[in-house]
Amino acid sequence: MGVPLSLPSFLNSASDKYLQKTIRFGRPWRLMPAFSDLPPGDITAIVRYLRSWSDQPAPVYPDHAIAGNPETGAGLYADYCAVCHGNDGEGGAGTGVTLSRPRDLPILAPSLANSGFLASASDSMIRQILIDGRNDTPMRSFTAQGLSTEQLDDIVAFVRSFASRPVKPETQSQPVTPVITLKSPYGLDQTVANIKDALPGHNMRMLGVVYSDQGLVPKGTEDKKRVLINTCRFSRLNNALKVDPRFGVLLPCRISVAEKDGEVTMYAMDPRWFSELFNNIALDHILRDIYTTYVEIMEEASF
Amino acid sequence: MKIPLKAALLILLICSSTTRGHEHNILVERIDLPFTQTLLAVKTTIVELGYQIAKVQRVDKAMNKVDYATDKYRIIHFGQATQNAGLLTKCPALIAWLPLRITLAAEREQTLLITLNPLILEQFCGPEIQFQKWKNDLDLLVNKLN
Repeated sequence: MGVPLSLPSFLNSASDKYLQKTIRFGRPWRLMPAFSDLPPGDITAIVRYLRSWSDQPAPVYPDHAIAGNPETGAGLYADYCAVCHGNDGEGGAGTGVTLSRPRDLPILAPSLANSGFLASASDSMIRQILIDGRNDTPMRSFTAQGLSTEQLDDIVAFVRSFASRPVKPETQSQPVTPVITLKSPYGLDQTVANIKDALPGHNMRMLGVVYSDQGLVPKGTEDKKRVLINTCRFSRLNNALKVDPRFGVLLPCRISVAEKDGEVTMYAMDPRWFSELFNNIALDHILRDIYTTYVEIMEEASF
Repeated sequence: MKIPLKAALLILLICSSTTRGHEHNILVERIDLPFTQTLLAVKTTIVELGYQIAKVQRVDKAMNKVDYATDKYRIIHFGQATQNAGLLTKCPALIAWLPLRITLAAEREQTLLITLNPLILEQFCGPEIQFQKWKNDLDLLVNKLN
């Protein structure tokens, strides 16, 4: 995820102020949380530790803005930067590339339109990175590629303009709760059967129907009034795990059915509720997609 | 490019959700053991802590034909039936979240342990002593692995 912290070309270009701010602001929607409550002493200690991985002194950059033409910079960005950092500065995809999967690129290009990045990196630091490139990554020196100082300033100005349109998730039109709940007009067995019947129409494969305490109690003594219907759309699962291996906390995909006092209710975790927990915008559309699947199956089963 | 262990540990620290101002809601621990050993150790410790393992779920079945490069990803479902039953009576929506689960994912010669913080359940069931007990047991489990 992102650039390895011990990469010499990273440490040699990252000021202590950048590292401190990165820890404090994090990278909203790009996995790294904000450690805003860490005592300053702890942040300093972390930065000092990171710095111990390099024998070079920490660079220091002025804070002033660099005057450049963002409109010209937009064209240069499209030509030189977008291929890795994304057309809208959204960064490389596959934030969860792990589990010994092959990677397309050795380094995941950071999101430049990230509010945390923009709050941490000064214009001068961004320009220096353009000048130097990043050894051991696909990013080559822009001056070596023939760009002038003025052109670099224009790119910096364009990157800074991302601050007015940072990458952020779609806002929910209604508050999201942790659990989707829907009452069924049918008995328990019929509701379970209806859910099973609805699955194929939503491209979901049935993995199995179990009681909620199955495996926790002796066989034959399970609570028959609490049933779990495990299901999966493997292509979506594969994509989700590629994006973020933490997705496993939502698995298996499942609709639960419980009967109490003659009333039958269906339940499912609302995946959208996890959006802030994952802090990974690349997962958001998957979470919304799963939510829609659950709701449509539950509505069909109770129709 | 190989990332030194210390760098990886720091990356993990930084990537654990969420901030320290409140409890982490998705717990991610990097265990310095290979996957198979971690799986065995987690299963053993879960039982030692008084829980039952309901099942160990694979996610690679039927995915071997897709570009999944490893089968070292398991989800351990565990719990204690009487604890769960009592809580489900008080908070029926909990059925969507139980039994408890721990995900293990191989990352080269180490293992990522990923799970939800049980205290998150307070957000829709209200505070329960049992949620804190689960969290305490999770901490014990991780400490034992480390």
